[in-house]
Amino acid sequence: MRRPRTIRDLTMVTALAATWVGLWGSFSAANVLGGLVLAVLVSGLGVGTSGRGGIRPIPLMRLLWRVLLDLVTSTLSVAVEIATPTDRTEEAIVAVPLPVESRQHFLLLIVAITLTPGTAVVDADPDTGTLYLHLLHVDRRMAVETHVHELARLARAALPTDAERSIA
Amino acid sequence: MTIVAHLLMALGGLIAVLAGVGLLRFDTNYARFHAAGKASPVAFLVTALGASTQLGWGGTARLAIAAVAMVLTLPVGVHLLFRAVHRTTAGDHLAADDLASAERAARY
Repeated sequence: MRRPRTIRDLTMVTALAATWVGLWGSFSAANVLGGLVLAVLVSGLGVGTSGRGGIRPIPLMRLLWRVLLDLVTSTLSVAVEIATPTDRTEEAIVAVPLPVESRQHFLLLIVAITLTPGTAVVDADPDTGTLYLHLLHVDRRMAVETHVHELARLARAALPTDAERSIA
Repeated sequence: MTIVAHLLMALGGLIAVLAGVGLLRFDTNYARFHAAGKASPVAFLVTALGASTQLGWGGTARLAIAAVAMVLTLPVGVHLLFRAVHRTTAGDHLAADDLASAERAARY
């Protein structure tokens, strides 16, 4: 028996219905109603993975904003690297250990890190909590490590696990 | 508003072209993935942002859904490409390779 989480379920239904209406591309009564019925059916039947833990909207926005900023700055730096005739790339694969509590958010971190040009996850070891990152510029290693830990901190703040919530 | 839309769409196109040039200019598999595999969501986002100002509500909603789907799925594919290359080719050009040494250590 899953615990009732009213706000969470409402958000889920609203998001699903909004996606449905968006896919149809017009905001008509029939689309909204159809979307709501489908959303209630889907979440009621328990299709998909049941998420654990909560979502804090404002830290989540902060995380998304940070990823967006990274996207812009790192795209610029890779664009400069491509457009200038000198080749300053010096590639390396480095291990970045993560704090234990960050492992809940492994996938989120992998997506955020791989999305930004210049860094990519080659492999991840969930047992030891180590990310193996490929860097285009090895001299930025320290900056990248700080950056990964910053992302991990933001992810933990945005999506607290059940255990952390009961403490807080 | 039209000018902003045109500028954004042109900028998205420019990013895509740069990614293509990067494919030719970089000489290792890894660097090529950085240029091509990851500039594409940025190019798409910028182009979609420009287009959405012209398409109205319905078009914007569809573009937003496409953008979310792309941003969430593309890193997974890129990550698999990186791992496949790491497993099948020698990384002699790498300044450091912590993953290879970790795998060697695990084997013994």
